[in-house]
Amino acid sequence: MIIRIRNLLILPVLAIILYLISTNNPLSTNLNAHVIPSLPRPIAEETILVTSAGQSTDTYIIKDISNKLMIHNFFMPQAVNDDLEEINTIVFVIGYSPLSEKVNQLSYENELKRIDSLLNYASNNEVTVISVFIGGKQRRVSETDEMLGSIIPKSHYVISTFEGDFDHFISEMARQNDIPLTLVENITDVSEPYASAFR
Amino acid sequence: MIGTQNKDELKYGFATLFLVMMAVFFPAVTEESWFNMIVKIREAITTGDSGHLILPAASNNFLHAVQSTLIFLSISCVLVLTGSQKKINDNIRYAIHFSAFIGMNLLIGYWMKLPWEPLNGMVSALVTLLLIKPSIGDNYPLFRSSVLSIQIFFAFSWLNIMPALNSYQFGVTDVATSIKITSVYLHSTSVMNFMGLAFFLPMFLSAIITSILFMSHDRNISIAKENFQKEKALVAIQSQAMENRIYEEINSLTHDLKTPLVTIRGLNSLLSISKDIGKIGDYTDRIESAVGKMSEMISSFLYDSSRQHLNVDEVVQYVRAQIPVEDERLNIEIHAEPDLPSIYVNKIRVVRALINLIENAIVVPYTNDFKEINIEVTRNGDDIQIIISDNGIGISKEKLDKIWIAGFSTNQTSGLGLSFAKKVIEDNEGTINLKSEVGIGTVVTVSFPGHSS
Repeated sequence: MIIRIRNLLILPVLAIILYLISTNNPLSTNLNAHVIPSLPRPIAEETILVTSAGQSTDTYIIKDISNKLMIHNFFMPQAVNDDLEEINTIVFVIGYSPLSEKVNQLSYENELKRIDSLLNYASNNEVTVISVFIGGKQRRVSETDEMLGSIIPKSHYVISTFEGDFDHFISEMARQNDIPLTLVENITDVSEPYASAFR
Repeated sequence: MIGTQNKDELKYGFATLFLVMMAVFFPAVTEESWFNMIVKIREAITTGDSGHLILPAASNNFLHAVQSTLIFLSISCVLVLTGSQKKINDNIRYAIHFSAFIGMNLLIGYWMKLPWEPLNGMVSALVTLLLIKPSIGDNYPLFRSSVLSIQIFFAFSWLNIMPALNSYQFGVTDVATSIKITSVYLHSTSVMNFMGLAFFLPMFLSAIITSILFMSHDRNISIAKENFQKEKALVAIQSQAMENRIYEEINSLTHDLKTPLVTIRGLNSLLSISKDIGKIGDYTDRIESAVGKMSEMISSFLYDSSRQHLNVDEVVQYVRAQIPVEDERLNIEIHAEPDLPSIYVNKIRVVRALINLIENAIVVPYTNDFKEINIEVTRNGDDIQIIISDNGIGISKEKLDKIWIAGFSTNQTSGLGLSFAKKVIEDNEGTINLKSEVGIGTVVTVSFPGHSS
């Protein structure tokens, strides 16, 4: 045999390694009482500002969902305080994208400052804050976690995918801060809980 | 040799420098392309058209593959430059290569802010090393590494955009993640999965086939080299045998020359003491005749084209005088028809050829009580036929086609006698034919055109 048998043994070893690192966990039952399928009554008002925390392309998905749901929105991934006039709700789409930050000529530190500033404004002016995280496990880098840590405690509603909450980081934070949380199986399931925040 | 070695080192040195510089600065050079991918993904979401994802997917995979290949090859060059293939064990060298690949990726990723696909990169590097190891050979190692690594890295990079492999940590970088998330939103995960597989499988198979072809090529080269060495050895042996044969012929000629020399010496002695004027003339004539014979012999030996009109009886007598008959169980009979026409041949060579044929008949093993060799000289139309037959063990049909090949022998002789005889006979416008039957014997028929003058 030209390719030696012992070299082919690497394939089952690789398969075992892949299985072990696989995160293909069955749907986990979250016993957190704050996890709800959707809000029972609206908590937010239009006009909304859809902005990004981390500049990922996920922001464009939420913008698209907002448009399809006919929710009156302004889409400003790099919104600052001055853009919040007449805004009743800020929707943060959280997900760190180093490449997008470079495209938009933003540094990570400046992004954090911008987010803090928006959160402070929202807090001082009774603007509703909704956090959305649809990046899944692969977006859960340290920078994203830092943003989740600063935005979620100051949010009024959090929507995430199950995969994004694989380690219960998001659900635990929501529980500790008494914030309603909806976990969805898929990105395409975000529409219903998202709409429930407004209608 | 040293010059060539220095040239190779210089070549690898330049290649290493070039590849390392390319690997380090490639992210900076292709920054614009990365930005365009983000723009395209945004367009896909805005338009709802998953077709917009194909270009960023292809670009992402291509750039990752090129980056990984540059890093892989630069490490290959460094290892070749340091002469590691001669200094350290293959497995250790490949382990170093693999580790250096990971290290360089981390370093460049940190410095140039370009994240890399850790699992995909490691698996690709491992598979590449696996395929390179048996196929690297001594021929064009850098070229082979390049061809194999490009195929493997490009094949595996397509796994990064497959949503089906999300849970296996393939495609964890920014662009790959964005593409997969967008494809989920646009309900086009099956398209991305299919596309990934459609590019991965053929490229991967192509890499395996390339590796097999390289190995096969090396094996063929090795066999050809071996055959060349064997043939060279065979030619050397044949050449040596031919040289020995020439010495044999020279030996024989020298022996033949002794006879007229002895005659000349004897006559010269008589000349010195003779006082009879009449006899002096006779002696000098005979000396002249002996000198003429010697000259004729030497010319016949030196020049193929030197021929003489010979009486067939004379040839027969000459041959009979030179046949070595020492064995009591050997019977040699010579019969010649009377009044045969003469032949126009090179006497020394033709006689040697005939003696070769007779010697073959003498040395061939036999099963009867006595070895019978018959030599018949007859007329056949205008030709003179010399038929040499023996009652030896004969030659099988399978070997009959090969007996004229120089070096082939059925009796552990040099195998040059028959080929020499055939050449001489044909050079003298004759023909030679051999028939043999196992257990019965062999008949060799030599024909020369007869000349009436």
